[in-house]
Amino acid sequence: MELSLPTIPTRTEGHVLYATFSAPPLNLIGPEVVRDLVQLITAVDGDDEVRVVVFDSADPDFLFPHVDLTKVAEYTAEAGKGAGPDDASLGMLFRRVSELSAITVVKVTGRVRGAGSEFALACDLRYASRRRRSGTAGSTAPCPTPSWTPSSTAWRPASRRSPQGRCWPPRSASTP
Amino acid sequence: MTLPDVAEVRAGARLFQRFVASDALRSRARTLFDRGFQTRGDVELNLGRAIGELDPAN
Repeated sequence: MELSLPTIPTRTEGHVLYATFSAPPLNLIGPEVVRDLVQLITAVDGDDEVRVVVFDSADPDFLFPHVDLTKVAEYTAEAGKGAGPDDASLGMLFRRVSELSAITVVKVTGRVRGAGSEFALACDLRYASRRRRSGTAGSTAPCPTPSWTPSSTAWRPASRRSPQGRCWPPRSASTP
Repeated sequence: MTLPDVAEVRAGARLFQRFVASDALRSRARTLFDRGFQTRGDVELNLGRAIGELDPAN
């Protein structure tokens, strides 16, 4: 599979597609990352040769810290290109990740919070480094939502194949 | 099979859009941005602590 995604460089080995998130300086989830993720999901969805997708980060401190709060409208519009105009949200885009026929694996190092955490939960398998810092920011302000994550389903294991939401050490991720 | 229901995902997305437009979030985010939010530094490396230091009345 040949893909040219500026924020998600990829390489293929056999039936495994390796995809590395690389959006300096923080790997924020912004319009560019979402645009590339939509393209990647669409490509994998139509390619039976790709049986496993392994995600990781070029930044050891940040997998996905959270969304870019200055570009919510822009990345939401990009998400809509992958999930449909009536379902323009990261939640629906990540649901597509969960529904891919290829097995999705994410190697988690550094910070993975909010929507980043949702992405990890949408993958079938998560291999977490001891340096992983995950979480979701709760609000103490009186407001109608319990947190600033895009979905109230953030901490529900979203995978079909790992309903317990288990994490394994990253050493075992070298041979997916 | 533990995927959330589509209606639940859509409802969560709607809640998030309301939340990011709320005065509560805007006020708190403004303070965080002033302290270095979304830049590579202590706030992002220790976001939980930074949020915990926000004035709860804000």
